[in-house]
Amino acid sequence: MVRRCATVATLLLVGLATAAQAEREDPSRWPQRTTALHLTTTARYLGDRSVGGVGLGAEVAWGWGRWQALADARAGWAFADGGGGPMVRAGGGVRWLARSFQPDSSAALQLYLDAGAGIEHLALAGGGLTVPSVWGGWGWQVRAGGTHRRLMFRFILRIEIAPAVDRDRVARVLCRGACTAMVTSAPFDEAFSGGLGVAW
Amino acid sequence: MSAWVGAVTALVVVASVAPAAGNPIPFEPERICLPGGLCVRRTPPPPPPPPPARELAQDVAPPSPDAIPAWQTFGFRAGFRQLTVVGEDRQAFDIGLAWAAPLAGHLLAFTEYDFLFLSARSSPMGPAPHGRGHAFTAGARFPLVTTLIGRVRDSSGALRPHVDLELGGTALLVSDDQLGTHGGWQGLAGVRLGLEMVRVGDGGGLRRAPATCTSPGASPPAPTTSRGPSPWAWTGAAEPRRAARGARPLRSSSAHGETVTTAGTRGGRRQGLPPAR
Repeated sequence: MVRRCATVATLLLVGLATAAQAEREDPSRWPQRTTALHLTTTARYLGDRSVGGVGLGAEVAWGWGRWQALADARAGWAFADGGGGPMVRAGGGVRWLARSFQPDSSAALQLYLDAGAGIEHLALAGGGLTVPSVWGGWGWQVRAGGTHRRLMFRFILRIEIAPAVDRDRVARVLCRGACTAMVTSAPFDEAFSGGLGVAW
Repeated sequence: MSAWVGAVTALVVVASVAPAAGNPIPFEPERICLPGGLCVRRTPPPPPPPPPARELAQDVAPPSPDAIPAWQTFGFRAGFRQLTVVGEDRQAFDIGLAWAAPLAGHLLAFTEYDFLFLSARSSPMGPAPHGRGHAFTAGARFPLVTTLIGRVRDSSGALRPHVDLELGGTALLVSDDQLGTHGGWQGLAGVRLGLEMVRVGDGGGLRRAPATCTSPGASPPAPTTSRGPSPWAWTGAAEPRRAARGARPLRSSSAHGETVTTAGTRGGRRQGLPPAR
């Protein structure tokens, strides 16, 4: 009886492991967990003023089929007219694998959409600015086949929408108080970021 | 004695049935009865074996040139746009997403989103302006001209260059550090010059691993033994457009390059490819 139970348990474990392996190897499904590193550039518009930046980001994501939940963080350097400074960002979101195109067994070309929320702090020479935002984006990636099925090289694009940062504060930080009058009247600010990444 | 009678009877029966079994045409009684009530039931001949399977490549029908794939497409695009905002010229590089689906017949509905990076040449009066914007476009596309080139009967596919007429509208919202924030709409007319890679079927001999392009709600990819079309195609397109009429503050013309994947959402005939012969 004990031997039979052990046999059944072994078969069950082998079956579950095989199913999990098959899930990991299916290019139309995200791996159960991935880690990613991204090199990103950002253009942030605060009213009429703009702040650029480059940074290095890291991401951890958990996959369920075509969906992923992700947590990411980024650190970099911002460039502005009034003087640059470090910037840090943290956030989270979800990602949906929209298309997976596998011309052969060597790789799959994939397109995904993602969205989330985050908060970024710019520690510029003229002062600090904290910008909470929601973002949406997309990316395309090459997911390797063969023995490295978890390896993905991706190109990332994100568009952020944030409530308009106080214009007086922006003027003090970015122009040291010597800004010309802003003409942009949009009640929100935007940012665009793009980057290259590798995930595994 | 009875053994001899039985042996002779059996010999007679065999001698009678064997020619009938060996020569089934034209008369094949299922039962043969001898005097004395002894009957033999003939076993019906087995059905003829199925014809040998032909190579799938011979069965795959290439798409006809006038077959317009009515597939759902989804992909990314990038392009340039020339705008006039309250009388000032602006150039924009934009990048976005595009989605299209069959509407009726050969008519396709499409919708697009583009993020715009605005700029202009610097002037002696000051630094170069810069800004950003959003463009939402929706419309319909109708194929004008199409053909198939490089058709290969081994199912590896064909290229379908096409020219589509586009009509629709665009809602624009732009913010510029010199002109401020402006919104508006435009009617647009455009021409799409596209090149689409269409594969008729998988398993034709050259390519064993089936290519897959899957999306929620889309048809599953054709298995290697399928004779039907694969539910994907790869499309690249360039589309010069010009605003036909628009709101006063905004006028624009644009050209985009687009790469989309295509997923089948309906049956083979709706996909525009004829069924296998």
